[in-house]
Amino acid sequence: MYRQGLGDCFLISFLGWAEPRHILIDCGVIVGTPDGPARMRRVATDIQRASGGGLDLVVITHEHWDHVSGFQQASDIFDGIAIAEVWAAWTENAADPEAAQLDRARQRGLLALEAGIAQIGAAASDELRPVVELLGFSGIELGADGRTAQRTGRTRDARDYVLERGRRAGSVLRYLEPGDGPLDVADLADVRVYALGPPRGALLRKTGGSVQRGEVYGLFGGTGGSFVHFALGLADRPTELFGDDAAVPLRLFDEGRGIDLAAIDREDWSTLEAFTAYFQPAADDPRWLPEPVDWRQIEDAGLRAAEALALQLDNATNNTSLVLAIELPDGRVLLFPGDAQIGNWLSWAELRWPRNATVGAPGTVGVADLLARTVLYKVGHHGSHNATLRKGGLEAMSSPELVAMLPVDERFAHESKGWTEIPLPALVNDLQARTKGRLIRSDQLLRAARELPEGRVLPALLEDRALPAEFAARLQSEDDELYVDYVLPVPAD
Amino acid sequence: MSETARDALAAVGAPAVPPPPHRRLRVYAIDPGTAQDAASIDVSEAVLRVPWERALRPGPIGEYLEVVDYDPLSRRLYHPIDLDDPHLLAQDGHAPSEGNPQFHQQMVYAVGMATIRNFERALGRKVLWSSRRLPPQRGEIGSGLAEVGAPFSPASAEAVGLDPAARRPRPAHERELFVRRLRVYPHALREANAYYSPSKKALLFGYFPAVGEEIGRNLPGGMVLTCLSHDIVAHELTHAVLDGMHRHFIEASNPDVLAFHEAFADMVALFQRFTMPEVLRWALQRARGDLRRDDTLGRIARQFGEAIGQRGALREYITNEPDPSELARTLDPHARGAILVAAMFDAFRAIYHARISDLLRIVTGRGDRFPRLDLQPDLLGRLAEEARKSAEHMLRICIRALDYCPPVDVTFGDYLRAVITADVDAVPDDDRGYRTIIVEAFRRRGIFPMGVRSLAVESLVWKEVARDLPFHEIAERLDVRLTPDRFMSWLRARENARTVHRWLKAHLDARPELAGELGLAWGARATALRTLTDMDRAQPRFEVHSVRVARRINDDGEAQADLVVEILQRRRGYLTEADQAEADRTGFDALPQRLRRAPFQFRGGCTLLVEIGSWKVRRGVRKGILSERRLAAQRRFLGGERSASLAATYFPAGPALGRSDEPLAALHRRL
Repeated sequence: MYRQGLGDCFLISFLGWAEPRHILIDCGVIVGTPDGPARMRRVATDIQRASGGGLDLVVITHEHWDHVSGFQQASDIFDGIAIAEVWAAWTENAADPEAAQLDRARQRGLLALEAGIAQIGAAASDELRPVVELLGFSGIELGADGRTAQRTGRTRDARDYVLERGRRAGSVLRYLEPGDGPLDVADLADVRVYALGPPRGALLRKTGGSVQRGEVYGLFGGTGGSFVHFALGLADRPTELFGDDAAVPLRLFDEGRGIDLAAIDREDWSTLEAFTAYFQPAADDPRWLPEPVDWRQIEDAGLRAAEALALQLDNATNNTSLVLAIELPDGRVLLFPGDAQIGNWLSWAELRWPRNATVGAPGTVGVADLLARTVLYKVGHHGSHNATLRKGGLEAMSSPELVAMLPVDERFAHESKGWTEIPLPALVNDLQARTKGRLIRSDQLLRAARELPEGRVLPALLEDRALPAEFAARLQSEDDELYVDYVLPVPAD
Repeated sequence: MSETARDALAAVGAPAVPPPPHRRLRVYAIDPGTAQDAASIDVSEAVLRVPWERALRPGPIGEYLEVVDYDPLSRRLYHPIDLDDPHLLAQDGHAPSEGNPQFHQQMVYAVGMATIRNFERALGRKVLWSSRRLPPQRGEIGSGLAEVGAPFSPASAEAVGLDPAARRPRPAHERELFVRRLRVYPHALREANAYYSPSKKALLFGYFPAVGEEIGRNLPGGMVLTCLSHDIVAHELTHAVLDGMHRHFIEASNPDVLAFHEAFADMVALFQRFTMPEVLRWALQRARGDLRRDDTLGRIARQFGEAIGQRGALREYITNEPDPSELARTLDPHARGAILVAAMFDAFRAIYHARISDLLRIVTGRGDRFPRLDLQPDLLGRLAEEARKSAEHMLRICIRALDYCPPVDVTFGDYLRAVITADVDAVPDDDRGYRTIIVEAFRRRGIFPMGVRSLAVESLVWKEVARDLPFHEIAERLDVRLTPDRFMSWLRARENARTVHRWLKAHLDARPELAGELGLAWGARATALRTLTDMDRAQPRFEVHSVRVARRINDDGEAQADLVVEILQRRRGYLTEADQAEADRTGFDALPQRLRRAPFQFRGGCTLLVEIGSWKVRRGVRKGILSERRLAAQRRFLGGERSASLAATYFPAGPALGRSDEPLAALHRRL
């Protein structure tokens, strides 16, 4: 696990085999990380060193900047690394009709938000910040004026870089479906990979917790895109994205009702008689002097729509995460769920794979079996609340050997992004308890650092936590500030 | 005309017409969805009688509500309706229409005022909105009235009998300002949402097109307006009234608090429906009097529910069979609140059935058998009358119980006890057995109060506390007169609170042991607990919330009144026991940086009911500030049991967990 900040980058090296093999899962860091590009270049350089310049497999879980930025920020370094195979979820396959539809909906949402933010921007720029921060995942950033948001398109470029590497001659690009597998990987004898998610169909759209019924904006329902525009009151709907959806009305009343304020300068609004109550307090009570009533105004009403929409977009992309369970020769499992949300987790229950004869009785393997054998869990979405299913998820990971790896930067999430519930304290406590303290966080060094670069603060030390001795001995690093290795011995036959 | 004749005429004058008691206004009886349903077309419209407001201004802007029809996201402004226009007066306002914004203004006003009137009738006093609170402004000198509201003219000082020339320093604690009117924005949001904003003191209603595959009877692409649903308007307005009485009920300190807010708002909307005779008769005829067969009255926000693809009403209280284990596994505020509403609705149905069993016996020969054919009109009339009375009775019971709730950290169990106690005080002789019916309904839904020995009415009734607190000492200084002027009642409540505070502090200083009885901490023990003191004070503080007057009829049929006094203390709360212990014993200045900002406020205190006249503390409800059990429960709830939303991940609630600027906005994405 690399310690680049708030983002995922995992290098799995299989060293006990005839030839060492290396699998890279994601490589990115969130927008706004100080020295982000430089850090990712260090990470890429180290990947090149550790893999000896050749990756047997690169996996991108989903199209979010904090999972793919490195492929753009350090593309020249990756150019120098051979990539034998690339895996991505079916959702990244532009030729897949369902994926294309999903992508259109997402693009519509982003376009609408971009326009919506521009519109609300002037009125509520301070409060708008959290929304823009959230959009950072999708590669939308606040422009130079601090008021409008701009799509950078870099996230897609970064993803496409990896996909393109897979398409090159001599390489293999593979889009995985839920239920694929057991797959051989990198010619590793007796190592099998199961693809769990992302699901097709309704569960892909389920991102919320237990009882959320009905999407607020129907973003991914048939006419969802227009809904988004509706919520933000945007008149302009690009036909190439919306087509027939433009049939959804934007106007509440027939022409001729009400006053069209768009035609009147904002400065003059308060002079409209019908608007008096909005700008002035009631003058009927002689005991009261006029008092400004701006605290009751609702210019920021669109903000909440933008927030909810940004959340929904973010969740939707998280839920397209490719989820892989890697089974070792002795049957133990490493689980990499990307940032899969609840619906993705729930969908796994239906999957069955043929059971490999070397492990247990013949028959089929279900997800409960895989979870029960999981000895390494990559914690989803930096430890936020709805990326780790409790019942039938974490609770089913009953192996006494369970170790969790949590890529997170708590301090940065709290102080720079204002996300004070990343990671969710309750989840961290739960993980600590279930792993008996064997939780490895990317923001906790193994031991006191000799010296950290300017602006880099890693809050706590793993060794402060009285780790089980056997476990502590398996944590290694040549460059503690850059990565931490967890060594999992695989017994010989 | 001769001069004599003219004089004679002038002497007589035109006969004066007294203002009418009511203004009649047309509304959608349920929502526009019912108007599109051929089977219910006749009853889609109702006429509400709302209090006649003199000098109602265009908006409408009256004494309680100001409707401002601005749609910021569409950049549209709609002309305010003048309900005093003679053409509208002559025809009960505009006819219901989805396409006429002035009708929308009329409908939110009418349903809002009808709801307010129901509250005032049950409580026997004026409805007040929650005050606007401003952070302290140090070092400023204001008029002597700064504390009661900054913009205060000399004339107003005289009006309330204070010396306008008196000037004293503005206090360094938060300022509280009177809010006369609740703002209502009928077209504020372009989404499937509507909410009460405590920070703006406003109701915001949204609208959205019904699109998708499952939109029930809605027209595809047709607009659904939340401001045209009786249920939604009554529900949101009730949130505002409740916030005016209990401002800490929007702080989620346990899973029941926000659920109670939602449940209470639904209860009012639900029972209020039964006051509309046309719909009631129609629905009862369809169900042949049997509320178990009803498919209209026990549903909340049907059109909205269908439009968001829920295949039915937003919440159903008819088909909902009791399951005592449901409560324990339901944490979502709406779903949890629905359990409380279902319990009250069960009780209502049982009461209604008890009241009509004689009629059924006459018609079918059995008190529990309903006619199998259509109801004969006279019978229908009688059944409707009994249903209306039962609903009015339940509504009164629900509302009256608000004066008997603890000031903070309310639970469903507390509410059951409040309902029972309020009813015992209002109707000492329960010859119809209503209280037993209510307790039974709660029991079947798994709602039990903590720490009572049995579910017998005597055990549930709040007991007297602090018996020897000599309230009579301040009898002369408390102003308990009724006034029609809402500003005056607000002002008096505050002045009374101040009087009680000064007096109680003297008593606590003299006898700190009194504090425990009031759920407070005082004296040496309190000073040692450093989380009780603020950063700039060595001494703990307590607040007396507005002291209000609740009226009732006593055993002898005499009008009697109680003073409802809420006393509160707060303590900084931490998410682990270790942090709490450290902060409890360490002074603020010595605290490590990470503990300076407490993750939550832990509140405690009591509600006292003091009988005016005898000045005895008749009843009291405590939530001890020193209760470790409660503190641990709140910590567990905030730390994990609460199903954290993703919104909370990215848009954290600010300094205090469980509280934000718009606590009800996100909640109300599902209304």
